[in-house]
Amino acid sequence: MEQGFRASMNWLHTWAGVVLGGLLFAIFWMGTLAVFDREIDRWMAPMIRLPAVEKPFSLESLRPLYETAAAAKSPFFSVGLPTDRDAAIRVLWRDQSGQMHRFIDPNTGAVLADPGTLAGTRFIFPFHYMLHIRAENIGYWLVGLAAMAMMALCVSGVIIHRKIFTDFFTFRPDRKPRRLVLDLHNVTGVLGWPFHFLITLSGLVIFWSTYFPSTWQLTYNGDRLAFFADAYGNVVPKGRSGEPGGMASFDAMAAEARRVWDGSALRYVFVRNPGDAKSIMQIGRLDEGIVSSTYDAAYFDGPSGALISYKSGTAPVMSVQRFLAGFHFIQFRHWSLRWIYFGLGLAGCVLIATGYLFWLESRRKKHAQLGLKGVRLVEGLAVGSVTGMLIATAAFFVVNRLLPLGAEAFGQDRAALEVWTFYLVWLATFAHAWVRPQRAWMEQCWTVAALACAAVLLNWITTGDHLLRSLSYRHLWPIAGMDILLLAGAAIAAVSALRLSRPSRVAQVRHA
Amino acid sequence: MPDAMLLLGVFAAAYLGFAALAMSQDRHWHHVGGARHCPRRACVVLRCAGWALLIVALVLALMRDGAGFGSLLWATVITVGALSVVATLSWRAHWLRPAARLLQHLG
Amino acid sequence: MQRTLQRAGARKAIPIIVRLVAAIGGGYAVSAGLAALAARVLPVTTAMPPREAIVLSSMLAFLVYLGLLIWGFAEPSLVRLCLILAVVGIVSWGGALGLVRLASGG
Repeated sequence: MEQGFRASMNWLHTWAGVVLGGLLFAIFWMGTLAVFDREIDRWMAPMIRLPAVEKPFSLESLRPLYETAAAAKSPFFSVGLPTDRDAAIRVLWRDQSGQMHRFIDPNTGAVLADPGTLAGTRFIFPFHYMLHIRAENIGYWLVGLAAMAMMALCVSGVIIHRKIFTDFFTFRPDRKPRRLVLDLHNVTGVLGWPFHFLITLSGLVIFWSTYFPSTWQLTYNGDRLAFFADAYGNVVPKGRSGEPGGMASFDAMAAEARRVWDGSALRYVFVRNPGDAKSIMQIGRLDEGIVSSTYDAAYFDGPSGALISYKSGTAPVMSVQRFLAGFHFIQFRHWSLRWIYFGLGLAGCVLIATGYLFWLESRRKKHAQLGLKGVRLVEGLAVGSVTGMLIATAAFFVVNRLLPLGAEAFGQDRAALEVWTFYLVWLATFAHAWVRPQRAWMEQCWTVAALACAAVLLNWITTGDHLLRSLSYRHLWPIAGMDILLLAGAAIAAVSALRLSRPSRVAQVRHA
Repeated sequence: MPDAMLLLGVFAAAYLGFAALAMSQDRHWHHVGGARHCPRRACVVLRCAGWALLIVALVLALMRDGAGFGSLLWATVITVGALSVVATLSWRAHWLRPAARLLQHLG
Repeated sequence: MQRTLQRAGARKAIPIIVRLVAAIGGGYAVSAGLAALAARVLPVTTAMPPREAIVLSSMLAFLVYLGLLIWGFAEPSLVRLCLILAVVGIVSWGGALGLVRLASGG
């Protein structure tokens, strides 16, 4: 803690970065991958590599699955309809064994084999916003804390950057590593500032009701359902009646929903209390042509199929929230923007990683002199958080291609085994960094390169969709994209490993 | 096709705009082959051209995608353009040499 | 020598811990209080419906919290920081809860 505004901001920037850098990298990395979560789904669940629908899909063909959910007394039955990025239909419900997740082929109505993977939308994406720590919403709060820290890092970063305009375009790759890393940190930080700041703020704004509950809880006496009913027009059944009830024609209700929204496409169908007399069908609107993430929904009484209410249009302040949410979720149809978000997300990862690296490098001599015991721990944490995270992700993709469908071990199903692999490999990278501090970065870079190449190779071997094939069919372009990015990542990791293995570099590291 | 052309136009305008702004700074002016200091006249021309090109990029983006997507596209593409200029200055500075030489004569 | 260093270390640590709690925890509590107050005051003073005021107050609260975080670490006087946070916190929460009590016919 020192005197002076700039000095105090320097202190804040340094310590917020050191303490939360690893967590921030994980959030930014998973968020960047989540830009293409549905495409990752396609890569990890080959049975959904389907061409787009030719003819309109009849929702009635889902009735057998609906009856299964109703019989299992599932509290909900959820259907995700096809979009530009998602040819297959996703069906979700809950029974005694847990969540049931199935894909439907929209062309034939057939239920596809259980892919046995959480893939992008159910592992990578939720990791990004709640770290898969569900207990007491701790995951959400950690991410929220990291996000506030990120904004504070952005603001303090600008304040302490003395020559922000003079150095606007300055990047000197021929200089010493520490200068190079700092230059890169400054360039990605300053040039990407609007994106990093807004993506963080918008992410927080999505969960405003979780992070600042004082506002709605005081007015609605803590009754979350009453508040959502008022603010979003939600219609929720008040408990189950206990009596069985039929479900009117899915297609008729869908057609009615389309009619009230002047022919707009539909995004989802969500039934609460399936099979009960008090069931309500909620049909959501799809608008891929606007930035805002629309909440428009139509509510139908289940047994009769009568329209209860529908929402169209949003109040001014809520529209701002929806725009910010849409800015962050990017569920709209705009491929150039999607790729740009991916690139800028990677820039954010580079920003965080270089910040961490710069701090490690600039303190190396001082820490060596002081002989502080904690340094090796912090360095180990840094390596594990950055390259370790990349290795764990690559291992996740590799094990997905290696495990056979329906695999089970130690009482864990296939999807759980993939997740276990991710976490165990990640843990191993921390251990490796602890055991071999001098060569950790370089060896982990090589591992990333090897695993990424292995993933591409395994995709070819296990699915036959090699690059030449996946580039020739439109519905396989996401697979080509994933393979190309994996190879590009492998190349970058290999080049980094080579640069790190240069004798001068190793000598510098060993000096400390 | 017009969509692709407009997108290219947005990026080109952003890239050239930032290239001009970068070259108006002494350090980069010298790096791309100019004198130690960027001559006043050239500096003024570069700065005006730079900002003008960034506005052209905005207009093209709004034309392509409307208010919502257009502003988003512009805000993100200018970052990409600026990063591309940084990459150019670091590894392919000679690409900008002809422009510097031309403007040097404005003195 | 070791014990002197340890005592010095502890003496340096306490102000840092207080500042962390004040800026991060106190800042959050104050922003939440100000948001709660704004959510109750806005519908009364403007024509904004309560559900809109709630969303607006919550969204602005993130920026208010950010400002408090920056100030929390920039403010040289720890005492002044804690005092101001405490006063604003009490006033905002008191005001918000008071308005709720009034509205429910207290």
